[in-house]
This record gives sequence, structure tokens and C-alpha cells, in this order.
Amino acid sequence: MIGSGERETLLDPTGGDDASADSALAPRLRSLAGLRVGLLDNTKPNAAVLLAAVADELRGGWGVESSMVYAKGYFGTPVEESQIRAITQQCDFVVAGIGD
Amino acid sequence: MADGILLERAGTPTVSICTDAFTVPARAMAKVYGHPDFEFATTPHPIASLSVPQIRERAHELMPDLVRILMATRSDQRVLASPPADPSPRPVGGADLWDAIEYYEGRGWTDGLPVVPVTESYLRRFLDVTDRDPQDVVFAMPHLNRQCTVRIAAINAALAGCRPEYFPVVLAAWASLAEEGYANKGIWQSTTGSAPLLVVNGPIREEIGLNCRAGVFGPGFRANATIGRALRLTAINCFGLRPQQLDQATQATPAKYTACIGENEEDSPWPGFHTDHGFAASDSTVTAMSVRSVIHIEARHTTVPEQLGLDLAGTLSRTGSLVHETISGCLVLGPEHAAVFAGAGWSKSDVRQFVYEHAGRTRAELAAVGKDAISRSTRWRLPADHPDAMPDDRGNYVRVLNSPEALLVVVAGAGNAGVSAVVETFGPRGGPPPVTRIDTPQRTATDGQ
Repeated sequence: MIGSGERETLLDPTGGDDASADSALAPRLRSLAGLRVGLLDNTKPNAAVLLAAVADELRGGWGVESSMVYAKGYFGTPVEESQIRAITQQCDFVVAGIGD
Repeated sequence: MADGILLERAGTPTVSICTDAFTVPARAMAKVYGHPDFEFATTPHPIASLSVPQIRERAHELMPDLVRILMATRSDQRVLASPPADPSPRPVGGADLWDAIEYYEGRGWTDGLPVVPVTESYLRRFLDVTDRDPQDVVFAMPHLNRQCTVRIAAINAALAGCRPEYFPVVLAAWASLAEEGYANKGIWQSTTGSAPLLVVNGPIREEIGLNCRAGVFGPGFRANATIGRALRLTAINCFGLRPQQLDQATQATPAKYTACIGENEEDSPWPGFHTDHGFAASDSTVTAMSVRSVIHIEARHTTVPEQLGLDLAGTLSRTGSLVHETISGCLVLGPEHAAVFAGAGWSKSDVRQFVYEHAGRTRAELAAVGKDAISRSTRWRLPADHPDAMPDDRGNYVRVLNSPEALLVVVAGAGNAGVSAVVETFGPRGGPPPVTRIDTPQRTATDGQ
């Protein structure tokens, strides 16, 4: 304990270091320049068009390096684990749409 | 919304776009996934029928929000983001005490006051005073998808400044709150701004130095100060109930810092509160209640029990707090006032009965404040001309308590003046209060012999 001379880690009181309760979200980005954006298309009407337009804006105005489109199998269910893995490996951040 | 949260949990910053017609279901979905404040970008409905040039324009308009959500530090980032601004947990030695205190503050893991830094070896002292498994769940808030385990409760109790021997009281408090039934359903997030109050009975009070006499609601006693604080820090740290975020209290109450009192059984003319509910005097118990206010009563020269009873009843029947059809309460009588009643031969039941009968408002008084009718759906009080209103069917004199059992009576404080308190609570509404045994290892050992 403090004062004993032995160094120990301070404990997290949120349960955040408890894997079963961990639902922390991702850190915020400092810059978008040079990053790869993933576009998660839920296949609703015009979602693909909107996401493509957003990708153009990101490349043109914020220095985003490249974009890749991922289409969901079915809009009504959450993105599948395999697709999450692929996106996480291949992209630095994601724009998902469109909830309609 | 689910997609955004799932990708974020996998470590990829994600911004979700939806139309503004979808905002309510989007928030509900975010809530189901445990992040009710998850931010998303919206664009006016509809999108499906727009032309390509129109969509390009929408994309352009969305950019500031999209970029802000991806990049700006949000107020809830201290709750939800990983890694934090200071990424690694700090190892500490003797000279690092103040850095450790600042570390916890920087992470947002406090109630605004400095906390006691907690390490594994210090925590072990708390876990050693209970036979429970550290991964046992002590309290859950299903609507937030969060649970508090024995271990998390112990870390927050240590953070609050509890001594290890207070921890069994903290554990029993969580059990009592679970039974109380209001705390785990969102009342701690409500604009009403309630706080948990703990009432402790039995030998544990003396064992841990829990104050039940002069200054019982105030500072100066470590057990009172820290046991109540352990609940608040857990609410903030484990359940994410930060003010102005998931805790939406309009003004809150000072009781949110800490509210833990012992009953003054020794100066009470009546048997202990816990013995009214099936426990032996030698049992130690804690009873939790969700409170709105603790209201001061001062009647220094009253010797007639009915007069004192009317002071108490008049306080309970104030319209200001009468949001629901009826209320519940807890009288915390100072020993002098308890003696006024007991000296006249009144039991606690007699006190409850008198106050119940006299805690009421006339129909005209309720109408004057727009609380003479109730809502069809929620039974909250409304003016009679409100579209949702229906009559409360309680006649011309409306009793504010459902029954005498909706009023609890405990004795606390010093016997040095005619001062008492009326606590406005969320229940019970006729059912038994959640009086919960405090289990300590030596008690468990005794039971086994």
C-alpha cells in the first residue's frame, strides 16, 4: 500500500478492468489525415450514395487517405462479428449509415 | 446505432448517421446497448427520395457533426472512453500520494472531493471481511446494462475512505437497496434528484463508531461519512451516474454526498426499528430508502403529543413535494420528541396512526396548486383541467399517506432540544421496509458453532 515502499497499480473503480463488464468505447481521433475510412452501408435506399459523398468530402477536405465500402447482409440486425473484425483490421475509423 | 457501438467496442472510432425521424429509436437502441448518451449525426428526413446532387449537399452539411463526433473530447468521454488521457494506471509509492489523488480526479472517478487511492493490497483488507466471492453481483441496473460486484463495491468503499470493517455495512446496504426496488429502476437518474439514506441498527453501530446521537445527519464521523459516500462513488464510477449526464437531477440534494445514520436505540423510549421487523435487538441491520428531502422540525416547548403530531403531519402534507398521488415518509424523531409521545403512552404505531390521519390537504388547497387531479397513466398529480387528468377519488380531505404503514418511525440525534426531522421517501407504500441483516465474518463463525 502507499507508504510501504512497494509500488502497486492504482485500481479502477468502474469495473472497466473487469473483462465481462467491459463496454468501453473507442478513443477519439486527433486528426483524420492519412487515415483509412470504412463506410458501413446498411443497404437502405440512398445509403450508399450518401456514404460515397461523405467519403469524397473526407478525402477532399480532411486528408483521408482511402475509403472502403462494407455492405451489411441485412439492415435489421447488427453488423456481424466477422465483418467487425475485417473493418477493425482494414480501417482506422468508420462512418455508418443510414438509420432511416 | 448498434453497429456504431459494436464497432467502437472493437476499438474503431465510428460515427453513425441517421435521419431525424429515427432519433428516438436510435437513442433507445443506444440505451439497450448500454450507452444511452452515444452520439450520432442526424440529417433531415427523408433521404430515400433525394436526388444525387441533393444527397451531396446533405453530405456536405453533415461534415462538421461527423468530424466533431470522431475527434472532439465529449463530456462523457471520461466515463466511456478508453484509453484515457493518462493511459496507464499509475504505480505509486510513498511520495506519489498526491499524484494518485489527482489521477483519480483526472479520470473523473470522484464525487468532487478527493478520494483515497486504492491498490490491490489495500483492497484485500476489504475483501477479507466478507465470505462472499468478489465476482458476486451486489447490485444491477439492467436498463443500463451495468452490474456492481463485491470487488467493485469494495474498491469504491475504499475510495470513499471506509475502513475495511465498514464494508459489511456497505454490502448489506446494497442488498437493502436491491430490495427497496426504486434504486435499480432509474430513480437515481431522475430529475427529482433523490439520494439513498441508510439507517443502521444493532451492535455494529458501536463496533464501528457510527454516530446516532448529536449531529447524526452531519459531518464528523468517519463511518457515517464514508459508508454513504461508498454508495455515491459506486453510482458515479460503476453505473456512470454522473451529474448532467446519466444523472439528470435538476438540483439534486446534499444527501447525495452521503446519508447514513444510526438509530439512537439507547435514548429511544421504544424498541429498536429493526425489532419491529422481525430482527432481534442483538442483530445488526441496515435499512435503505430513497429520499427527496430531510426537513427540519423544531418544537421546543411542546408537551402535548397531538400538537407535536400536527407539526409533523403538517410537514408531511406540504404540497410542494406532492408529485405523486400519495407520498411515503420516515419520521426521524429526536429523543426529546420521542419522549413527548412515549410519556403520554403513545407507541410508534400510535404516532403513525395520528400523523396518517392528520397529514392531509383539502381539495381546495390542492386545486390552488394545480395538484387536485391525477394522471390517467402515471397517477402523478395534475391540475383538474389537464388533458390527462382524472379525479383521485379521495374526497374533500385528501390524506397524503396511503396508510400508516407508509410512514416509518426511527429515533436519532441528541436529547438536547426539541428537534426532529421528517424525511420524504419513495416508499414503502404499505409493504415492509427493506431491513437487511449485516453479515460479518465473526457472526458467520458464531452461527456455525
